Amino acid sequence: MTTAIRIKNLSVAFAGRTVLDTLSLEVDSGGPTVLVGRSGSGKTTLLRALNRLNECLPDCATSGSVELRLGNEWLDAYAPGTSPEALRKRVGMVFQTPNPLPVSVARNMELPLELALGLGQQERAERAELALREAHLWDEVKDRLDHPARTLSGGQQQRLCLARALAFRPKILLLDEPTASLDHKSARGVEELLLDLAGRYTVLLVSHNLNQARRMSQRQSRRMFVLREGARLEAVAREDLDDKERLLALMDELL
Amino acid sequence: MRKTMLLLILAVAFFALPAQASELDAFAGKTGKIDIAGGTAHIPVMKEAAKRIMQKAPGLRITVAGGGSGVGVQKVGEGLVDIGNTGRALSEAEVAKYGLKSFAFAIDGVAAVVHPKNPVNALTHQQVQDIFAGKITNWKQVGGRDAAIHLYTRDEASGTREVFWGVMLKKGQIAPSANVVSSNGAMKSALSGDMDGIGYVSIGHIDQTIKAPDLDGVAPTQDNAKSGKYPVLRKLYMNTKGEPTGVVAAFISYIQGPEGAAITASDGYIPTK
Amino acid sequence: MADSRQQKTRGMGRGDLPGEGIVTALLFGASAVSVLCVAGILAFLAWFCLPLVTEGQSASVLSWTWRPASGQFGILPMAVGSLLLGSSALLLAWPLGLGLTLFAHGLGPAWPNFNPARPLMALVRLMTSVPTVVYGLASVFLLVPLVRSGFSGGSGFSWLAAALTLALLVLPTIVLVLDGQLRLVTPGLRLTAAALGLTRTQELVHLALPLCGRGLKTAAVLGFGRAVGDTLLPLMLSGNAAQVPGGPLDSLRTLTAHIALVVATDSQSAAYTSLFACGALLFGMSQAVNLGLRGLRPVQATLSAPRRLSLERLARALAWTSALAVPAGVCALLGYLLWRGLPTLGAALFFGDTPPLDALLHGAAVFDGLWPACLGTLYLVLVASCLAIPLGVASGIHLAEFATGRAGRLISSCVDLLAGVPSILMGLFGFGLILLLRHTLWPRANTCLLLSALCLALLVLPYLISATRTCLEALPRELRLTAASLGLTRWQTVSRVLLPAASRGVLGGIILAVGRAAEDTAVIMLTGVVVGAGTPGALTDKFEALPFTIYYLAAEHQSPQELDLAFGAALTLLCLTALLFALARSLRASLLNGKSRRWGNGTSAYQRTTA
Repeated sequence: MTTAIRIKNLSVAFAGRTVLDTLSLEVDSGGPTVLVGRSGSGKTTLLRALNRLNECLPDCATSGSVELRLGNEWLDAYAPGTSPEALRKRVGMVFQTPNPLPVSVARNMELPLELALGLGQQERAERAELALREAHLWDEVKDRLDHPARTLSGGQQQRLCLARALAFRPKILLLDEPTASLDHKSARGVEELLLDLAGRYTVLLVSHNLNQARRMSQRQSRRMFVLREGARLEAVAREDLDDKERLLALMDELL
Repeated sequence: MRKTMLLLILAVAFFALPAQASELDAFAGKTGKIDIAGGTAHIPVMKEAAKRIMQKAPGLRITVAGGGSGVGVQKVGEGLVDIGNTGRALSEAEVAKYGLKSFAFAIDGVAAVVHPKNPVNALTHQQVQDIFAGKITNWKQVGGRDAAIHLYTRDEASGTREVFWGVMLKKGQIAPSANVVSSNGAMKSALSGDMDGIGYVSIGHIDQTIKAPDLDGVAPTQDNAKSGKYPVLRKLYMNTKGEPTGVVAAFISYIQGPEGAAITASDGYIPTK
Repeated sequence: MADSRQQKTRGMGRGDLPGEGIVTALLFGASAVSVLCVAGILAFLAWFCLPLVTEGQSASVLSWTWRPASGQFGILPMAVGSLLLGSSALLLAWPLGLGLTLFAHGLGPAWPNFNPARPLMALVRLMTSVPTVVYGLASVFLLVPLVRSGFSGGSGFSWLAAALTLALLVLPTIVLVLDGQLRLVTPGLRLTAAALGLTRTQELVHLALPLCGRGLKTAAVLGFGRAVGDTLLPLMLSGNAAQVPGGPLDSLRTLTAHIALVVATDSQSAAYTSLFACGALLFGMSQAVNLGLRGLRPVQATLSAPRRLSLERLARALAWTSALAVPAGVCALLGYLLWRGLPTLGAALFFGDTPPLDALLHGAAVFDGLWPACLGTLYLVLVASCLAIPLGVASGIHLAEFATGRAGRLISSCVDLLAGVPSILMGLFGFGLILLLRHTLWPRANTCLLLSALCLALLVLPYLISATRTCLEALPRELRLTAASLGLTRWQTVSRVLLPAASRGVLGGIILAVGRAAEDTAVIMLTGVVVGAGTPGALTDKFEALPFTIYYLAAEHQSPQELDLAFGAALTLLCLTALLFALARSLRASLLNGKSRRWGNGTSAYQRTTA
């Protein structure tokens, strides 16, 4: 098992209010690694610190270091020479609510590839199809590629966003409660997909649903961390994950 | 003897002051409204008279607007104002259509003017005509520096334009490329900034910011205009619809009276009386 | 139509809320005013243009020579002049405005301690409060000499000088429209685009701007309408020769300046009648551009990589150019104004030789000072605002939320038409109205403060309507659905949820409108402003107003000292409009902080429904 993400003494504050305080964490490659915690404990901020997305929000101050292993090299996310765009192209992210761009399904897939990676028409189409197949969405949308993305159902939209991230062929996938806004069936569909993907990508998943977290930890490489109030991180022991009773106790304590 | 003279002068001065004020006494306690519009050359005279009268009679409201001679005719004709000023005599058609009555109160010359630093100090009548017709296009043709002439003229409503065009240019053509400005003052600002410009203004408006070259050897001054040596002249009129009555009649006789004449003279025009 | 009937019955059917029907009717009434006005103006134009057709003068009017002394009344050179000047000003202002907006939205530098977007946008907002006549005054004495000495062979009063200043005039309109649209579009895109590794430039150029198609078009239409309809700047700067210009240094005359110059003639002459043909042409011109731009479809082109890159580079270059050039131009003009105007400031400027305290406390008459003009302008703006703001906002609400079907389309096209009426034409309309009243119902009718305020109100009405409407329509659909799901009626939804949510934009529109009413000169020139009148006593009095005083002094000064007064007056007017503007902004701030109870409730309702 190798380390894929190394966070050291990470602090994030918005407008002077500290959200994360000198937090350190190592995430193994593969996964999925699940991060649980109450609402407002800073899970999303932690996730967004990895691809420097917090900087897009007003009055954000970040300190500490985040290193990501992309292929065979380590990239220091906050090094002066690192451009946020280059970083984000190699770290895919899926948001809590589906966020398709207000264009067609096909353009949603191709526009980012065109703009961020500068790919040609041919390669864009190939990658888009492959990613849509990978997200188990191709059969549902292949006949309506030119429809506005907003006309898809919630679950489809979320899988479209996942496919959009996959089309970049990232090394690391950051998932911010990707099933929170979906119905049970769609959520299960996405979960299965994620388990499937975890073999090929380093997956870091934020959740505030312990049941989902438990389901997601069926794989051998699973890890789980609890983000407590005051930004303390706690690893959940492997035995606790296996034992349903202990997990329920943890859930009670947490929520 | 000298003492008696002095006393006499003092006595005259003593009685003259209230005598002058008595012209305004005609307005004391009067109320009502006088609306005045039209020729832009008239405005300084009208404003000063209105100020003096309103200080004497706070219940009286006198409003003064410009617009040009055309507006003066139109507004007084339509009854929108009580007095419509024109910088030209009314046409017969205008008098007939609206039943207007004219009261002249000042004489004013109109002169071709240039930038004060323009070396040209004298022009002939013919040269002015050719310049405005666009036949002479460079200052060196009339003894100036080698530079293109920039023409400035007034809009069609202008009484100043009517007089300049009728008398100076003998109703000849004005080149269509001439810049058109909408008042005497605008003409002055334009020319005071343009070394190579030529235009025309009411002589009452000439000051150190512009220069009027001699015309056929005659300096365009109000004195020469008064004596008739300078030919491009006009009268300034107040016009009413029908015979004026009440405060309007009082206002007109005030302007035409000695104090009105003093105001007229101080604004650079020659009073008719 | 079926749709509208259904909605109406739903609105009226609520027995527990009888107010709902009344409110809907009132809103409809507000919208009907625009329709009536447009009908009135069109009828008025047609009536006065009629002699041209019946008396066979149309050939003379539609020709290329204007020489009234010899009976030639051709207005085509002026039509060409208007088109050339309007489109060149727009071609300058639109890209600059776009550049400025992009700069403020992220193409500029992001220094940690200083965000240049803030002072830049503050400057743009200040620009909205700079009156036309102030730009005109400063340009006559600063820009025109520069043009004259910079390019030999011209008087400086030229197409170029007028176009440059006109571009500055319309720029803030364009920037504010675009800024408003981008503010609505970008928040949803920011994180998504960033997470996909797009740069800020890419996000703005390829994602946000294509979504702002409507805003880009609105900006162009409003900008062109403003440029082509402006009277004062062409009148003061373009030289006014009745010819087709051969180049940017030549003099030209626009239709608006032509009307202002020629309106001062005999009302029965053919020259006077030809003015209404000018009016009709002006009207037709802005409408044609309006329709033409609306017909434009945004092109969804997939660009090759090098062209995409050059597009991004172009956007950045444009942003930087605008961010440097526009403030430089404005600061030069305003700096010049300050330099000339500041030394004149003092009690004498305002009160002449009357003791200031007497004038302020006892209403003593003031001559030779600006005080009566200040009061005149203040009253004028107050009356015009009282007339226009309720009507405009109500009509905007009606169009955005209630109007449907054919009636809705009719009203909104009438509002567009009304927006295309240049101020000089509105003045002409007011003046014609008075003449008509005198000849028919009311022989004592005369031009006065009320008439000016009425015409000004009509002038700013379409600004208010479209500002309100655009803001409401831009709100997310979910907000309406959420409110409806909570059992709110349509009016409750509008008043408690949508209006508070759109209040920033609506108040922005009101600010623009108030500023516009305070500075307009062309309308009041024909409807009752005079050079000397003292403090206004009644609505039916003639009055003085600051913008007209500036225009008059600039044109008619007898001495350099009087010209200094003009600069003092310009500075005063600028301060006054800036003050009104600051007032409106602080009012807006207090509304947003929920200090006002009514709005506070509204805001909390909004928070409840969106939580």
